[in-house]
Amino acid sequence: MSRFFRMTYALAVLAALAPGQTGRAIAQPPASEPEDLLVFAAASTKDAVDEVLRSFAESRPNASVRASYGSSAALAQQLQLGAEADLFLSANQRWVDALEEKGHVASRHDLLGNRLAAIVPADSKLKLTAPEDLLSDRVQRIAIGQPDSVPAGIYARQALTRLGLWERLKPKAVGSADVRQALAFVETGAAEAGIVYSTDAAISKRVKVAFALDEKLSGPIVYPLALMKQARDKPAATALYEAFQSDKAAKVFRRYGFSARGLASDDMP
Amino acid sequence: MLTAEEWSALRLSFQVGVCAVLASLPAAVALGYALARWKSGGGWRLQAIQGLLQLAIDLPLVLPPVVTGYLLLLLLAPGGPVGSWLQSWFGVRILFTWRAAAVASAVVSFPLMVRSIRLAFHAVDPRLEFAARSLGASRLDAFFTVSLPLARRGVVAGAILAFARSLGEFGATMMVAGSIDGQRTIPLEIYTLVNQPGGVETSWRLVAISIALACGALAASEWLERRQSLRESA
Repeated sequence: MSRFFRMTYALAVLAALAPGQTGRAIAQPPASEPEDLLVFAAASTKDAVDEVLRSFAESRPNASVRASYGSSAALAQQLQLGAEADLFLSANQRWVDALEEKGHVASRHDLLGNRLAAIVPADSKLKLTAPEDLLSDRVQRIAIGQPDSVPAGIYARQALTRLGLWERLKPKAVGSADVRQALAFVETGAAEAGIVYSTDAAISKRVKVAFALDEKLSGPIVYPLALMKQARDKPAATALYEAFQSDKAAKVFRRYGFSARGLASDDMP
Repeated sequence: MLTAEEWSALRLSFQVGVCAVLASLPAAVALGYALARWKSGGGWRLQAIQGLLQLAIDLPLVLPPVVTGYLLLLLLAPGGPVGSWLQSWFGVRILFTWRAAAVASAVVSFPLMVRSIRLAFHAVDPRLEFAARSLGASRLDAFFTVSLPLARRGVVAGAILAFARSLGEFGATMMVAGSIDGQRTIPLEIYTLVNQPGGVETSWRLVAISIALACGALAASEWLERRQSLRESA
């Protein structure tokens, strides 16, 4: 993972050292095979997106879809440097906004919603039922995503700030490179508690949910799906963009604990 | 010139690097010397032990740093074998402090240090030690007055190389030290900056510092090693 980030960063540095050159230096050659698709998606959506892509491939046999998963920030950096992805499913709005400002986005749609949950190790004897309980001396470390860059951490800080707890809890907060690392901190008992997405909490048997954090506190957690500008004229890319918004895909995402925003029937508070 | 965060990252990186190197230097010198002087003959048991030792030392060099970090996390966690021991005996908690970063740096840079030190001792003619011993020096005397001074450039080169590696350590450090305000080394600070929109532009000073430090350390270590080998051939 770290090598991947370092490579991403090496590319970013090269771009920074040669301003104005990057657009052309990593120019996008015309796609030779229009049915070849590349999807970038936030790590937290991997299992569900894999399933959606599988069923898309079945319905469109001559399309070959590859997916790259990572932190939304790293993927967005690659896209800014001209990575030729057709679709980007980001864990927060900020990165898609930044890409849109630079004119990389053809179309976007708020696809998914998620929630935050406070978790403790599965064998923990701590009684945490409300956010104030995190102030207890028995909680020495709270694992969250890095609160300036990792979306899950940004949301967690926002929720704790609205509760008036952030300043007091800040010294206990341990930032992580992505939300799954925060999960690992709690799984190993390195941190007594953590705040992650409820979808992440659900996939681990080694943690249990102590309490959920309301969306009113964290602010809406939205995963926008972006159709990238370079994919505008690819019929397969548009088809996949629509397939992500179909009822069928919504069912898959709901099964993994996301709320699918694409449908009118699914009311988000 | 530099922001408060940049100074703090720079200071912390030096602190972590110096502590990691100083803490592991005695063990690295001892192991480097032992590996250099170990006779290649001996029974298969001795050979097996030697091989396993070398493997254990070199492992962090090739293991993905994230894996090294995860193993350290398991060891140092409050419920882990080392973590629980430290907690009950000394009441210290290493995880998510700068000490954890120093431990991660020490483990990851240790193989580089041992390698360089082993080569330095290997180049010292054992007959010089025998001569010292025959003149009445004890084993320890011979080591500290003959072998170590002769190998000093290689030892220092190894220490500088390990220090440079410490400055660049990211994967394992992120796992055990986390990303805490005021407690981020240079690579962690860069990573945090770069993962925000516009971060590539704001991180350039730290990037330039990293490159300069890495070049300086590599040049110093190369120069010392060259001096060492020049002196030997002379």
